[in-house]
Amino acid sequence: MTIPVTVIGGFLGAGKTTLVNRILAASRSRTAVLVNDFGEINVDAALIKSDDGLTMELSGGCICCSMAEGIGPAIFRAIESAPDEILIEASGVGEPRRVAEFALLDRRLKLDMVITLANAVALASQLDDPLIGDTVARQFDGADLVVLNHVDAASPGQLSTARAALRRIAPGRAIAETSRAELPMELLSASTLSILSAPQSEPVAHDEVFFRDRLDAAIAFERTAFEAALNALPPTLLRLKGWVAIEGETSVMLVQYVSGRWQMTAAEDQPHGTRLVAIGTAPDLSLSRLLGADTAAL
Amino acid sequence: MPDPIKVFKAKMIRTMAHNTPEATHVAVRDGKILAVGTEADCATWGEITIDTRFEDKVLMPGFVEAHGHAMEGNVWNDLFLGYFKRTAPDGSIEGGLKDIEAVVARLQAYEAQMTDPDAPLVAWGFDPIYFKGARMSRAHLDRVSTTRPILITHASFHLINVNTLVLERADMLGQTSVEGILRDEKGEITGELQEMAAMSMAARAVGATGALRGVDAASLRTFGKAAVNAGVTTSADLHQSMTDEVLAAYHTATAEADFPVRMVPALGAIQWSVAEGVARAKALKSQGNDKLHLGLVKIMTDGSIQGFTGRLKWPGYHNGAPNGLWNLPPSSLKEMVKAYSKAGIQMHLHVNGDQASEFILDVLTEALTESPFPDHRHTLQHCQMADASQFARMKALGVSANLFANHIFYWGEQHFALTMGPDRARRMDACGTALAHGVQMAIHSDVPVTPLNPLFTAWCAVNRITSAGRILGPQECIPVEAALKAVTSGAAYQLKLDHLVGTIEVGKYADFAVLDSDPMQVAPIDLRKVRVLGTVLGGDWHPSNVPADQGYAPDITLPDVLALA
Ligand SMILES: [Zn+2]
Repeated sequence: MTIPVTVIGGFLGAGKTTLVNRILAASRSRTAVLVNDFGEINVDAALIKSDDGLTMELSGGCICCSMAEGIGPAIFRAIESAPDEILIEASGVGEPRRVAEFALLDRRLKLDMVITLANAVALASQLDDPLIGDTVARQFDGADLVVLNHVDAASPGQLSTARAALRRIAPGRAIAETSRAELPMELLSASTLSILSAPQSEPVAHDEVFFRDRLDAAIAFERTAFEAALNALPPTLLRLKGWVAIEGETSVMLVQYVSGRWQMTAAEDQPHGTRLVAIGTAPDLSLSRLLGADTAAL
Repeated sequence: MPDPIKVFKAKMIRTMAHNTPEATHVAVRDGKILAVGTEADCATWGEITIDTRFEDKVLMPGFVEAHGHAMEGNVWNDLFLGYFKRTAPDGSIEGGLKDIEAVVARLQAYEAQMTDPDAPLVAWGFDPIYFKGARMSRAHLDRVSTTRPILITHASFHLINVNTLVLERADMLGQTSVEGILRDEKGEITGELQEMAAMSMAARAVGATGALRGVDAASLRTFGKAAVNAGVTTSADLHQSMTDEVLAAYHTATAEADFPVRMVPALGAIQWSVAEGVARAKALKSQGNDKLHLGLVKIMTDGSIQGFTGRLKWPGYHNGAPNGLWNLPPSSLKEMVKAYSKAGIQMHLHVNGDQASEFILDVLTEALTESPFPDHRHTLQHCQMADASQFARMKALGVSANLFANHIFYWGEQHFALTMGPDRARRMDACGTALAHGVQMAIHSDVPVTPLNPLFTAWCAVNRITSAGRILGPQECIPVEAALKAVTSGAAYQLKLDHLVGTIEVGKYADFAVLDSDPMQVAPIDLRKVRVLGTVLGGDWHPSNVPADQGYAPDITLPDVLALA
């Protein structure tokens, strides 16, 4: 079994620790947490399930000798503790994309999601600051989800410049606006299928941030067409999970899709038929249309 | 009757002290300098015995390396593959490999001598920037071995080369679209890896993770040999975790009677929370001994210029590379610097680019205004791009500069062509401007980044000759005496040890560099040719490990370049 890895990035004050704590509070799995930021462990100690060595502090490695120190050994130690998931809080100046490469390279790991937070109040002035502007901008490279956080504290002017800045530095990426990094649990849940127990999509509220859809059908897909449809899903569709019936297969397939990366494996002991749920940041989230279910064989 | 007083007689003693700058005799008692001057001056203290072994030699204060790393004692466990020759601590000469075939041949010869067939071949210092675009691939390394993992770290530390076996073991051959795994024009994986993920994975597959930077008593002893060979009697180890384990290693090594160098390790602040780091640095202050001086703190701000990770002001990197990296958010650095300064702890601040040095000067201005700290001696390390305006601020704040003079030789051409462009390259490591502004200045090697050899470092500051023979910024050249001061008393000042070392004066440790000729008498271009025969530490003689009939590299082994100068 590969261990899913979630990487949380963003500059100081964007809300990384809030999000880490939120995930830990809701998680039912054994999560290894790697936090950066030089020893100030802000992770709520009560949220750490037990003293099983799952929380690790990353000391700032020397840039010149990144091979010898830094995050690598901490990730390898985390893997040895056999957690269900690994959650990495990148440093305030770190590039989440580079941390995520570990999960792409190590066959024991699977990259789940790269989330970069932005501070709606401070983003525009941060980007204008010659000391940190380029550092802040680079943190959005490779993000699956950009969270514009602290929107409640931002003035209308700050909010509109922050939105405009994100359109410029993170074009085409899924963007969600939050006040205290309140992301839905079914979005963050990497290792379980709890997304399937999420409620049927409700009528879309006007200020909705996340959108859900569900496909329950007794149809079977042609494999090549289905794979092509997965590869063509828009970046605003963040997570897709469930079972799909594929023509010619005796059992249904378990599909796990996160931001363009997907796996399809044979699922034993599941009822026949297709049952998929998805969550994303765009309202036009029609699984039936996106997966071509309208034209699939019945 | 006390024992007679030991007096060393020398052809010349360059004391580097304002009074009695020249002498012929130095008297030693209890490991300290009792008198310096003539034989008669020494004899005023009582019965003397004269040790004549240096009577045709020149003595200087033992050199002080104010920015080196004890990991020099570790790196030679692995094979050195540098373009320029270097002297290993045991005195042998390695490197000087001028093309890829020479590198492969050296690897093959080394591999043939390895006894354990499963042991990885790990090498460092590979420097293809001199190879006119030629790159090493796994095909080259597979000619060395297909059954033994091979991992070669580049001199820049930003790239490694591995053989096919390592790629297999790290399960990288099937990988697509991972930035850290480089490919050639045909899309084939070359065995060059970059970025921390790919490099760490390869190191782990080889079993070579993490061993490089730690120190133990054995590596400190090896560092001691390197110090003796270079005439160094006091050295900083300018970024240490300073855990109990490291401290114990330091206590073990420095307690040994024949340990030949005084060590000044600095606590790497980035590895500690601010409160814990401050407490640790304070607690360490009282745990030293004659050969172990504790309490310094190192703060890393940006990266390196040759690695394009230094933080630059406008107009940035000459080749258009994006600006570099901070080790911590500037606001966190500010908090950290202010906390250490307020606690009365001296800081050595790594600042390579001019944005980093300017930022730290801003922070220090604020820190020292809010919490005055008389005689703080905070020091900007490397400080390679500071201009007159920044040196003026250093002078005003009482901040010292330890400039990376060796960079001019080793990377001057890269700075000229790629990182800085001609004009900014000419004012890099601006020793002349620093002195003109009255800034307390030292120069350093950052060993093992460049070789430990203060006379060579002084030669770089005096001559500013690049590896291609170009004189880079003649306006910044400094006189020999000023350069020698920068590797003795100037460096001692920055370590707050100038009351103990750095000059040959009464009351200081009897620490000397023993030289075959007088650095003040040779032509400035020949400074690098002055040979170190060994050191005296606390009155005890430590001969160099370099064979008498061989040179110490880099000094007499650079004729190819220096013919041009
Ligand atoms: Zn250094």
